[in-house]
Amino acid sequence: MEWLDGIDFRLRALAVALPIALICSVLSVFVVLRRMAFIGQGVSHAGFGGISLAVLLGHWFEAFNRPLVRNGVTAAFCIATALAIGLYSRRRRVTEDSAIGILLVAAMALGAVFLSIRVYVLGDTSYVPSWESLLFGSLLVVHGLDLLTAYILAVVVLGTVALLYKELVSFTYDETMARVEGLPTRALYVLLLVLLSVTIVVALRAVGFLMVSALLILPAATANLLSRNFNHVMALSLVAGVVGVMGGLGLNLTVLADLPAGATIVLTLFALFTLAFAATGLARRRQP
Amino acid sequence: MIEPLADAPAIAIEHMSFAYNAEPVLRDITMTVEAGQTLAIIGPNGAGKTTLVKILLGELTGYRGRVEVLGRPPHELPRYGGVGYVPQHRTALAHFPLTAEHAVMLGLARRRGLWRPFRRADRDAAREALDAVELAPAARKPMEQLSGGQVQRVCIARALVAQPRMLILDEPTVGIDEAGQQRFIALLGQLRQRFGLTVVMVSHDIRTVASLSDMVACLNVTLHCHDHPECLDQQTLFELFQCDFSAMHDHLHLHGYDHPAPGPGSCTGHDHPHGPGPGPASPPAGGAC
Repeated sequence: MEWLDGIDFRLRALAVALPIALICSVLSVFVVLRRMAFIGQGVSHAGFGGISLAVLLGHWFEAFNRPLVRNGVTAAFCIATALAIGLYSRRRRVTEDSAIGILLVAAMALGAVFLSIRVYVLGDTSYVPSWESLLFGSLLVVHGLDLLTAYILAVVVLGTVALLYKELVSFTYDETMARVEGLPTRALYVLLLVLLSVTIVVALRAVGFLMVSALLILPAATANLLSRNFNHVMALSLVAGVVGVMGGLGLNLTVLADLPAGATIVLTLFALFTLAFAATGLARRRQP
Repeated sequence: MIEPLADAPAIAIEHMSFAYNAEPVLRDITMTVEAGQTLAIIGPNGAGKTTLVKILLGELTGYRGRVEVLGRPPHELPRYGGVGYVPQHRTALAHFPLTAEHAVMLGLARRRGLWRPFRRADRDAAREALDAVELAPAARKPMEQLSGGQVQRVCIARALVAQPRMLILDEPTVGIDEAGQQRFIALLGQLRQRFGLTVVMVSHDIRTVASLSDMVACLNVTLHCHDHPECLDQQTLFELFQCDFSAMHDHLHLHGYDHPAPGPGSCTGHDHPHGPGPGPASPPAGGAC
């Protein structure tokens, strides 16, 4: 893995940004059209609780200071939160958005408590990531292992979506029709939450907890403005995501080096969305 | 196509009750619908219509009594197929980025099998189903460009493409203009004949569904059935809906209770002690008018 660490940091950043852009763009179509954007936000914030738990455990168990183990704990925490959101909202008196709101702040609070215990109570600052890198990402400090993890997960996520494409489209369009027609909708929902959690863990590296949900919303939101055909929306979302992420990072690596990479990525994606919004608005006005 | 079990009625419900948190929503429902019949379930908002549809679709379990659809418990239906579902018209369905053809093809997702992509044969089947609902020219159009009535016809095509024995429609004409409603009901009548379908329609608007129905089940927690929709009287409707239906009277050509001729299907219910139910002048249970 060391040979990967020898590559120029800019190339490593671009190389890890590509799979992140691809999987976020694909999943964002389901997140936006199934109206799961708030779930994405809840699960991404839960990632803060997960990585903080791994950091705390790392004080006693050396293994938890390894990036792979930390990623595993973060993913598990995200999945558990996603499933808890589903469990809470099955009760009629707790709506899905309330469940997300509750678990989102609980996970953030837990994250703050775990980090504070390691740093201030135990007085141990070794292997503790900075608050800035957790909140806003640290794409320019990518290791070979991060690269490998991102590509493996990209293959898993994209492969799963490709194999279950028609089932996921049907589930996203209307859950009841899909269930009556015999599709395993509960399993598809859990699968989407798991894919979402895994994607968030990978994307956290790029943009951090605060902005990761932007990657899961903006590509598809932009594409959805431009087409009324699901397959075209998927293709346009991929284009918007890759252009936005790679373009934003490219800007950061060249002319905007003093700004956080996550912020330039999100703002580039936002600029693409604004352009699409304005263009479709103009086109609508010109229609007789 | 899934054949119903031999000699089984399309729907058989015996003394079925259902409650949400101990609050009764459906009470002691007994009803039989034979294959090929059309049943309209009418009732005011909150009468339990959607709950009954959910039970028939296998979406809700935990009821007391016996319920069988195509000879099987409803929760087994998704596994065996045979029932097509047409939901209430919603903006979300119309604004989803799908072409009409793609929306219909989704009805074949289970038949094609997990992991396998759609094939040309699926596209052809979707085109045929769209042709059956007179929407073949709109196959490549996005759902957003279709009217409310056309979106509902696409939903019927999606149900038909899987070759069901029965269609269950939940408030199919809500949000559709008058002309669209009439066309929709006329088309449904043609499809029923052509494919030999059993049709169950839920509506709060008797005007749209009565002309097509062999039986009307008036639901307001309990069930009050008529094998002959034209025999529904104003008194019954007033007690059911708690409003004046005189404006509807001419439209339906409603009669009194002087035509007792029960059809092959039947349904019975029992008075709700607190809610509206048939009064002293109401027809006897058993479906005759």
